[in-house]
Amino acid sequence: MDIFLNQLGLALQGTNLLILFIATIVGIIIGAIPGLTVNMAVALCVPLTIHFPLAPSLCMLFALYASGIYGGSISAILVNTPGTPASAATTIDGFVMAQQGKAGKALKMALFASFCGGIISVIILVAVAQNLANVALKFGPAERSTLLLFALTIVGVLSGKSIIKGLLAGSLGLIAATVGADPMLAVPRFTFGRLELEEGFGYIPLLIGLFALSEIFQQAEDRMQTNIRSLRSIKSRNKEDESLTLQDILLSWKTIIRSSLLGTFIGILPGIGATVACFLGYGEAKRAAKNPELFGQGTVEGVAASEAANNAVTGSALIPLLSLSIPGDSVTAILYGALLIQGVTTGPLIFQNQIDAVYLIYITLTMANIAMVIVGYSFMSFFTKVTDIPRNILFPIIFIFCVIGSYSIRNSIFDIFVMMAFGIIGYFMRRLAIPVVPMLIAFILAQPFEEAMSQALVGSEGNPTVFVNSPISVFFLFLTVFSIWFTLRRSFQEKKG
Amino acid sequence: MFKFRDLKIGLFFLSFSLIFAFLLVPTIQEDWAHSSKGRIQSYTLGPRFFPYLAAGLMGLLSIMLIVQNLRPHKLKINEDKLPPRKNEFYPVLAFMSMGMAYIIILPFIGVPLATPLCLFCFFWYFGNRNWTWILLFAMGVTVFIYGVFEKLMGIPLPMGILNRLWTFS
Repeated sequence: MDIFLNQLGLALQGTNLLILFIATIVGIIIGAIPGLTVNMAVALCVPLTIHFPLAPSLCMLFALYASGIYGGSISAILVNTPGTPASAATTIDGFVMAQQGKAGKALKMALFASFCGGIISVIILVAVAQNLANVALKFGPAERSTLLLFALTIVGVLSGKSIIKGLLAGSLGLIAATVGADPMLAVPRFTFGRLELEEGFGYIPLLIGLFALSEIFQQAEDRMQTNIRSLRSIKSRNKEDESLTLQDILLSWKTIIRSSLLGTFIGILPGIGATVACFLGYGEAKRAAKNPELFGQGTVEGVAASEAANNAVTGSALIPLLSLSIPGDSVTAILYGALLIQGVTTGPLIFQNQIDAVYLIYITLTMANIAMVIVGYSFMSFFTKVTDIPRNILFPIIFIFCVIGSYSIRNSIFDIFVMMAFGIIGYFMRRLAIPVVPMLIAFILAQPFEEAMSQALVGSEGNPTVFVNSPISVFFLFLTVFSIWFTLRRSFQEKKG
Repeated sequence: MFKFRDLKIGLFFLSFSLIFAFLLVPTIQEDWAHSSKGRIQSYTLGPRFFPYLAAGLMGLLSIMLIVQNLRPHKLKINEDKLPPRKNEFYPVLAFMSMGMAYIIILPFIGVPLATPLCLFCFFWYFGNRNWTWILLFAMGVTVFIYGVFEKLMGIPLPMGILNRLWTFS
């Protein structure tokens, strides 16, 4: 309890609160601008966290994460263009409500539902993560390597439209991870005599390139001319259309709780993410509604369903990350690296060795959701204007931040070239409909997998049966086989389709 | 034009995996038998195993993609995302070139000079003709970056020629 109170006191320090609120404002703005993604925002801010202690770093990253996903609903409601893919289902009812002059009500419901989804998700994170980690504590190198093998198959499988292309992206990530010293014997691989490559590709230049720079290149295709003008005002002649009433909340509370639980469940599963959660939440709410015909006609329940579900992913996505060290989606993959930089090693031992960091994660994530409500409500009128920011000013500035951010990690110009190279690779991957997320996740998981496998073999004096000796390893191998079977089946259906 | 796109992707990845496996992986030094690491290595799979595994996986998946796209019903134009037309690709190429030029000149002329110059080029190329905005943002961003990174966080940004000028003065 003392540790918890200490961490709470630390998180509530003035500087941290200031960073939290600034990051919330930035997160909502980025989320609200179509083309700018939460991944990009979090990736760009990771270099800044290197120079901060853990508490302000977590305040910044979680505020960007939670508020960025909420921010996507603003443009979804006002201009029928979701700021983030996770808010795509919000457009269905949100935009209709805006056309009916109820934009204020829709935005407030989106905010309320996002907050509820986020908080329910944090509660489940607190309840589940440690128990899962207690199970994972029994894992040795053999169990860890089979778990990571399973994680490698599942993230490739669940990303993108084409499974084979997703897995190809994953294999590219594996190849990128082999650059640098071999984790067991420290034999240099593909360094070509360059000292900068001894440690492998820098994690941050790689992720900034793949997520932020490739996005900028894509925006450059139309010379950054497609500015979206917000035509609707949130002011309405009828005061009731502007505000969220108790009746609206009573009408939607069941939907909010259902969608939050559904979003939480989706968040735990690696590789699915907030976009699927938002559509599933919406679909399930429509299926369970007394009047499903009202969905699509501008009902607050529709907005509540998708927004509660997508924000519920934020907390639960941390469950596999904290307890098993498996990043389930792109943002948690970025957070994984950010935590490592801060000296926080995720995995079951975190609950024994760094419980203070775990409490801080719980606290700052809760604070991020609270800040989202305060900032979102107070500056609602301001945020409705951000979709008007000219892209031909915004994206060049973001490019400069990409460059300086990549440089600042090791003060290395070489890292900027790495960022540029992965930006170009990421751009062509996007253009060819090859998902970039499996590449990043495979890149992250490859080294721990190789390390665990080598440790298991050294421990067993080279006996490969070590991987089938324990029931846990067999269980994960079974899951891996199931995952591959599932992949092949889906691939077959894809071919037929 | 974009017929057989996935087939081409498959062929590209297959070629890459072959080059990687047969030309690059053999460059990894593996003869540790007489070193102190020899005993450990006899139990591990060696430094070449994982790159071979990744290359093999890539090769296998590429073949699957090729076979999948050789079926007659797949020989159609991919409609999910069309490739950039030539006139769409030029601005991307221009952005990449200007970006690359910025990175190359950065160590020589330093952040305070290269950044506003680069931003000016970007703004101009992408259709901004409002001089007040151009100057305001180009200078403002440079001052912000210098203030936050160099002064606040103490990260030594590349100063290039300015460093020498300041030292000289």
